[in-house]
Amino acid sequence: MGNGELKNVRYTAAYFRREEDLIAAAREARAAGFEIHDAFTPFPVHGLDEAVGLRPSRLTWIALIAGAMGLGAGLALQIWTSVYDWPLNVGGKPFNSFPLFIPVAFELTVLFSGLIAICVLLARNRLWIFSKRLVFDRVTDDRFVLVLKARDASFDINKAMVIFDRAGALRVIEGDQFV
Amino acid sequence: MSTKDIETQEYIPDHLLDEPTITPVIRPGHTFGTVTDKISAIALTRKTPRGWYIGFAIAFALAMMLFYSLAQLVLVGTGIWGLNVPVAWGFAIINLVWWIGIGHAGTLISAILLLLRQNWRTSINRFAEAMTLFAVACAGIFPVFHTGRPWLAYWLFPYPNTMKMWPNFRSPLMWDVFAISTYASVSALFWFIGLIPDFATLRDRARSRSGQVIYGMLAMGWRGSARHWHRYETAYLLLAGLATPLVLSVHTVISFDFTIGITPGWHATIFPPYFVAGAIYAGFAMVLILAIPIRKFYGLEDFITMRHLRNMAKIMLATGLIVGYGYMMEAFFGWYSANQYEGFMIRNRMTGPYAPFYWALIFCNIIAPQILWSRRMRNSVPVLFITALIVSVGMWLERFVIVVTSLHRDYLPSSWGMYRGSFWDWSTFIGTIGLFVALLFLFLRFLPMISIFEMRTILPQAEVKEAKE
Amino acid sequence: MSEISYAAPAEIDHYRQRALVIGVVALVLCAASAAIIKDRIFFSYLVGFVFWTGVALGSLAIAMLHQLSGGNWGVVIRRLLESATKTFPLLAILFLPVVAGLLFGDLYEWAHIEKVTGKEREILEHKKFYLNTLFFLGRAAFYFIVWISLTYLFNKWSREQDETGDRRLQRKLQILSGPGIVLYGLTVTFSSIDWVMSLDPEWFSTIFGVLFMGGQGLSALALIIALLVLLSKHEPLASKVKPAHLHDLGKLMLAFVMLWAYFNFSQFLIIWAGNLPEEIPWYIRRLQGSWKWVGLMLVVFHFALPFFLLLSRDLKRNARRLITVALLVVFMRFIDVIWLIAPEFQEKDFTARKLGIVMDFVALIGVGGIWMWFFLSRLKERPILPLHDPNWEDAES
Repeated sequence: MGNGELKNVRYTAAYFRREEDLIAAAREARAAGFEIHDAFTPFPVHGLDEAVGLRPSRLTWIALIAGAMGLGAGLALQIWTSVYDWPLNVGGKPFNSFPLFIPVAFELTVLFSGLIAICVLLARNRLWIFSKRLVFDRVTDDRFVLVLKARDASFDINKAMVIFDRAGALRVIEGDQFV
Repeated sequence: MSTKDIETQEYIPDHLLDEPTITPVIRPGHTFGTVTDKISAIALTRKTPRGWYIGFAIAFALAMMLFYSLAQLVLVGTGIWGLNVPVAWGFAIINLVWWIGIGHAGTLISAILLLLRQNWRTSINRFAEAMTLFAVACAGIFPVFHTGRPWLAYWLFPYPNTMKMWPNFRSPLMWDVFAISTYASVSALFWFIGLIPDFATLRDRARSRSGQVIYGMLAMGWRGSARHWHRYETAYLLLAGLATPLVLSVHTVISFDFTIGITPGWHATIFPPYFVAGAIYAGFAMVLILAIPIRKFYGLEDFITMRHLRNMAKIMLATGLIVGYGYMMEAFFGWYSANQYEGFMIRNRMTGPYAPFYWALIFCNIIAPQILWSRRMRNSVPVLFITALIVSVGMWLERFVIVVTSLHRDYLPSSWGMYRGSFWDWSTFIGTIGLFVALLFLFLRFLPMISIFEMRTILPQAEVKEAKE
Repeated sequence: MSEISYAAPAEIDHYRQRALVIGVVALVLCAASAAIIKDRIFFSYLVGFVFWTGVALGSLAIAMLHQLSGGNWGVVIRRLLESATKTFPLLAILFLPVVAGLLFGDLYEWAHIEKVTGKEREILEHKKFYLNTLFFLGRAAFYFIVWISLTYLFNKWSREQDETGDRRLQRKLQILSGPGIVLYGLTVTFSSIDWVMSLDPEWFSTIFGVLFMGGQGLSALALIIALLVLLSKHEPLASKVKPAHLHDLGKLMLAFVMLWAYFNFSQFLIIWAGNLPEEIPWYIRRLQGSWKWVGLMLVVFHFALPFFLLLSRDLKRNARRLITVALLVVFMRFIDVIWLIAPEFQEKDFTARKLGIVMDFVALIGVGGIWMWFFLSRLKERPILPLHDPNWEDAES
């Protein structure tokens, strides 16, 4: 599955009033063999990841690796500049004053880890300032939307409608070229 | 009986006071829609109140005074500040430490309380984070202008240059550069990331074209996708996990500015934890000073309830006690160390020419806040406001006493001196307060001051669902 | 509530008797070794005493913090913590050998001021007001009175809460815990100065009390986590302790590991950078010769390894792995206390120095065995879970 872009594929979207309705509909639709494209909610809904079928994010690992890079870069920078490139005697302290290098190394660990994690987050979510994407009505306010893919003829709209109705959908819309 | 009645009534049985039904983090009766309406209206539709213009004008005037003072400093030189040997470090470092400390409460509320799953943080974290950013901006002004040639401030960073010189990484002042710039960057990003979903709400609700375009750009195409939320939550927790040790490290590094040297009164191993506690203490005092008028002025008592104020008072009491512990250790070890310089410094602090400042700070930071032990007092908004003001003053005095008393009596009596800030010291300091308040006014006017999407998650209907699972 | 009995599992009796036998044997060994290593045995004994007092104190602090902060994590360990705090009367008796070391041995240099000369004598004369035998004993008595009264009240109300479920008792416990934490902070600070810092009467460090608080919290938490995992093999804990509890406790342990490292690094960096003749000798003794490797070991196994392991969410939720880390931390806490105390033994008696390290461990086991026996006996007396803790409902779901 891509990152929320759906080219030349029809979709069906159902609106819900409550998050539990959304979760119920998502679970049932998945069980009935529908392909869930995505869900849209005004806040992070607990348990939705699992209902929609998302794998745990690997962002933590990226941050860990980035942090290790920051630590390495911080120590390397300080040791190279203070011990090898231009050693200066300041206050009689040894050139390699390793304990005194720890604070800066720590700060760089946090800086690298934080910056890289955020960049990856923005990139993976394709968030950028000139983004022009379809936003469902009131989904940033008080509505919950479930979007199913209608890829081919096997998509049974009536079956989907039954599931939506049972979960208490407010309305259902169909469309194509979902961006 | 409505919640309002309970809050104003005389006596609540002790054991019931913290029951969520009595004082919730959000007053009952709100839905997703009303929360969105109420908070976004301040930025979008509500008429800007006249009080806002008056307040902003005053703050803006003070900020102009800051810029004038700084221009004066650049034109004439750092000599216009009252610094001289032996007190070569005065307002510049005092105000740096004071402002940075104030900023720490914002990070604490947004990061540590998030990790501790304290959901009451939700209604205050946004403006506390804004406070952090503005406070760090004010703090940064002092060391940069203290260098005398702020346009060369980039010399502080390690970059290959024509002189082939590197910064001295053994100096804690270098660590400050890294610590504060990391802190500023990570806090700003944390704040911005937190704002994205709310920008999307504003974008979708804005009626004016300019609002739609500007909020639309800031929202960066956010549309609440489950996939996006999934990564977003991971990133948000991750940033909280990073910000927590970061905030500790920043004030620790600030304390290293003093402790890494061997000046009596500064070279004390207790400084790192006691500076961190002091920072949180002053920061929470500032959050209270801001939250109390804001909730009144914008009618946000539904979202910033007595429970918030009480909890902040408790944190203030706890951190204030840690600060008191720090003073006690300094005094005790001044004697126990059997070092004549340490002993003299402590005696001079308590009985010397700056003794009134020392005892004033003891009153402000140690004695006055003890009133918060009383539950009645913690429930009184005026008492909280006044205590917070006293603590803010006390924490400024604390930094003044630490910085000045250790310097003004040098080892040789021939190099003794006295220090008081010059006119320009004061105008710069008061000017930064103006800048801080002015930025805050702009923030209140144009951005959602309470995190809308997080408020939705703590609505009772969201909780019902969670309990059922 | 439910039909399950909340009585402590009967298996405790096994552990209890074994602990007593091991403890007594180890302490007899300690006494016997005095024939060879003489005064050094007092240092070993002090190691054991300081560590296990730290466990009781750390438990007291965590129990009081839990009263103030609330939260799920505390419910399942509350009874373990409370039982640990009931050991202060025993610890007061176990303090007597330290008193013997002070009066008859060479444990505290300042107690024999007449043997000291020169500049050092001047310093000791200056500190004589604080560092003298009578005041030292008076203070120790005061600490124990404070700890015993605090824990007496705490456990009394806790028992009443079990019996009656009166919610006002919760408030009472909270009102006790606020000032209780303050008293804890002050007594721990001054007792750490008295018992450990004054081993080198010239040295001082203002963070020392804080360092002890962090260490004690960590010792207590790690040990209690290990015990909880062991006991949760049996009912009633088996059905009550959930991965979510372990997760929270694991996070708390991670926080304490980081705090411990933070306090120690702060002290080290400041003293190392200052390099003053009255401060640096303390570190020179601990970072030269073989002690250097112990110091390095502390950095790696007391901080780095548990830190990285505890970052993992899966590890924190897995009882078997969490107990491994908890036991590693307990062991490293032993090493840390040894590292704080043993290098202060300055005599050139190499047998005593070498064998002394072995006896440090024997003393840790000896005092620990007796302590554990007493602790488990207290644990047996009451239901293993608090019946009316207000955080209880949450904890059950």
